[in-house]
Amino acid sequence: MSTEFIMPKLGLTMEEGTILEWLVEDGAEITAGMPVLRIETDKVESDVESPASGRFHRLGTQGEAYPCGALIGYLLADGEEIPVSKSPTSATPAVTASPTSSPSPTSAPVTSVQRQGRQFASPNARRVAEELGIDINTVIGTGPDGRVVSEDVEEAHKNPQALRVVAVSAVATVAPIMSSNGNILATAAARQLADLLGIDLSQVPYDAQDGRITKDGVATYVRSRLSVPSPSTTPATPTVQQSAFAPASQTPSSIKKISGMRGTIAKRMHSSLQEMAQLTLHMDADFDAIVKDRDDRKGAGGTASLPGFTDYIIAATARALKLHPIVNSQVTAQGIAVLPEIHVSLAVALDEGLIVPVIKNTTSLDLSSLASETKRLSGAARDGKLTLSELEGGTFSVSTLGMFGVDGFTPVINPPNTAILGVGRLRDDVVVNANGKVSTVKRMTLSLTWDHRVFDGAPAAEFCKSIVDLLADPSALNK
Amino acid sequence: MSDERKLSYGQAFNEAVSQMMEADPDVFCAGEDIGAFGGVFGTFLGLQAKFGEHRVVDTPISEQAIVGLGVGASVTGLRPIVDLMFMDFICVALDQIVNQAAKLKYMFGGEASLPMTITTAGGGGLSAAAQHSQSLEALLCHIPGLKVVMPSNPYDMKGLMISCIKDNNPTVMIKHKRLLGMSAVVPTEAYEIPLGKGNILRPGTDVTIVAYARMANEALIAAAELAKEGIECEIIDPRTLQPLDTDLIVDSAKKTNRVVVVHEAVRFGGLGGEIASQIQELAFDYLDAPVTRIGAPFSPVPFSPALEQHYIPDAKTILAGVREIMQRNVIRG
Repeated sequence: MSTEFIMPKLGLTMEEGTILEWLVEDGAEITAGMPVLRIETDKVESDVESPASGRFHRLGTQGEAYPCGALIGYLLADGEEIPVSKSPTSATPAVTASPTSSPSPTSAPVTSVQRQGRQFASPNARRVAEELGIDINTVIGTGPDGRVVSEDVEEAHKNPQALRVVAVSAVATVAPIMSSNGNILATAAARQLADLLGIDLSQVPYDAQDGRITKDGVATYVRSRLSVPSPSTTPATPTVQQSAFAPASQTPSSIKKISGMRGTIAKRMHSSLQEMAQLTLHMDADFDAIVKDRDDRKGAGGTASLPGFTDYIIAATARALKLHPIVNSQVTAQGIAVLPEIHVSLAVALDEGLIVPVIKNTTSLDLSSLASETKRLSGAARDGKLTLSELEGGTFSVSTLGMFGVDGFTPVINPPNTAILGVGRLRDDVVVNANGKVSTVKRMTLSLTWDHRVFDGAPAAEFCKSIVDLLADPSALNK
Repeated sequence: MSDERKLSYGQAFNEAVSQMMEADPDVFCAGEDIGAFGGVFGTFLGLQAKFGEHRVVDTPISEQAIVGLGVGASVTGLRPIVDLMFMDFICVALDQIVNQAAKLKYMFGGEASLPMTITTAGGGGLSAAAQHSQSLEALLCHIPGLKVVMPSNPYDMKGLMISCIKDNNPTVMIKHKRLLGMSAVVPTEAYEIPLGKGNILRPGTDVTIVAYARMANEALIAAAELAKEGIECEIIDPRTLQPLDTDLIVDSAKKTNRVVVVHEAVRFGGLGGEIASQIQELAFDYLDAPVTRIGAPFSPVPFSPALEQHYIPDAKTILAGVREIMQRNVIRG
């Protein structure tokens, strides 16, 4: 038996991996435990070891991204041949050849409707379709039992646009067909499946051929709702919806694939903004006390564990989260899940993107330990040495742009968190005291983005105010 | 005589026999009641008066003996026409037909030839009951060494009968009882229609109907009706069932993409199965629908006229079959 060698899933959130380098030659004899290739995920680079021994046959292409579970190679026993008709499923969507008679390129793309399951077509229809270069799956059959006959293919050839539009509207018609007693017409199998999945049949498009909802229709509807293609039959989801893009207005000087880390960032930020009700408030925090605390620590010696300003903010945020549990939460299918453990993650900018390592149990650390931990994590992040466990489980994120002179901005929530804190620059503000005296004060603007679905403006402001109050008393951050 | 002279199917048969007996003294007829009586359907009428008792022989009631007489006479140089009153009776003579007539040329290494014609009357429609109404042509077509002919009209009858008599191998000419009175223009001179060559009775583009004997005529009626609906049927009459003109049928199937095969015989195991099979082997990629077979139900032919009418396929059955194979649920608006 040949063993399939697949793109491994190294973490919960890993969806695809890029083959950075093959570590063995095609056809090489390898033993179990031998590193076979190096892959890059959205988060880490990792070597992949062989689970068994045998002759290794490479299928995947170096530099290409493959979805987890995609076939990228074979382990063959002695004298075994590669099974035929298998090719790796690249994560980049395959370019589908358009029919020879496709409408002019300026017209809007038309979705072709694919029947699920076996398409019944007469032998003559198949022959004619092949001769005319028509994809028989896009043709609606009008013969007995909905079979595609040659006339259907010929009509599709003569008038491809019209046919497909009809096809789309015919299958995508949502208005349910009612029987005389007011029930929605559906096959027994369709009803059973809809019951099982809790689907409202009135939302499911009916089959134009059958004049009622079929099991395939329910399945198609569910798939469209999940917007996750079935893993076995469909190529991996493009990282970003590509169909809507306009062509480049100029000849690009270079094109960077939206895959790997870039792809993950693109996908997660886009879906974050699409799925959550995000808004941002800004609040100033006085930093005089912190500057003083930090100077005191500096004087006491030892820069190794000297906290940075961001560390103070992380410490204050973690303690504020304790006071406002609703912010330390996650939206789940069951509802808003308040999370008992506080793990603040910190966005670290890298040359090719950013990465968000997690400071586990943040409130348990005093400022010095926190400082060492953030230093260690950001160093590991820059060296690409973070492990997956150091990247998972964050409950709230902190993102800093102060070093670039930014005061306030609108950070985007890192799903599945429900809020993120943006940190601006440390600056001197002129203030007028109660007695009319003018003085300067060290200040920083905090930007809190939260998901309005989870809590409202007032609790958000109260949470932010708690951070500000905690920052005014650094001694509280050491507890 | 003008070209417009009309003869019945039975008279066309009679004229073919008569002209061949005039042309060749080796031709003679033998059968039950074909002499003085002229045959139970009158197909041999007047032949004994014209050619005498030695050339038109009344035989005892023994089909086995009648066909045996033909085998012996033909293998020794004569050109006999032996008549079995009803096609149902070939079963009595099957040893002579299957084991002797069909085999001798092969078993004598080609040295013996049997220029014998077995004539008989087949088909239902006369309320002649289960033992006098059958269509057993498929039995005969299954036997290598026999040629089987079933004309659908007077013109074909005369031409095919002459070819049968002239052929140097055993042939079976099946007259359809219900067609005996069918009248049409038949040339006076002797002419031959080659065995193994089918005929396009009606050209068409939408669906091919393969039908022979009486069913070819029913198909013509159905086709006229369907033409009013815009369905153009091409009707193929194979005329000779063995050897079958497969090329003609397959070419037509490739043209129309749909085929209906019709016969009066029981559908199961009938010739329609062989024709459908040939089509799917040779024109699979040209079919827009499975080949439809129309035949009688799997039952003996009923005696009751009402039941028999229901039992035998007719133009209405063919109409329904064609409509079904042409069916399209057009949803385009």
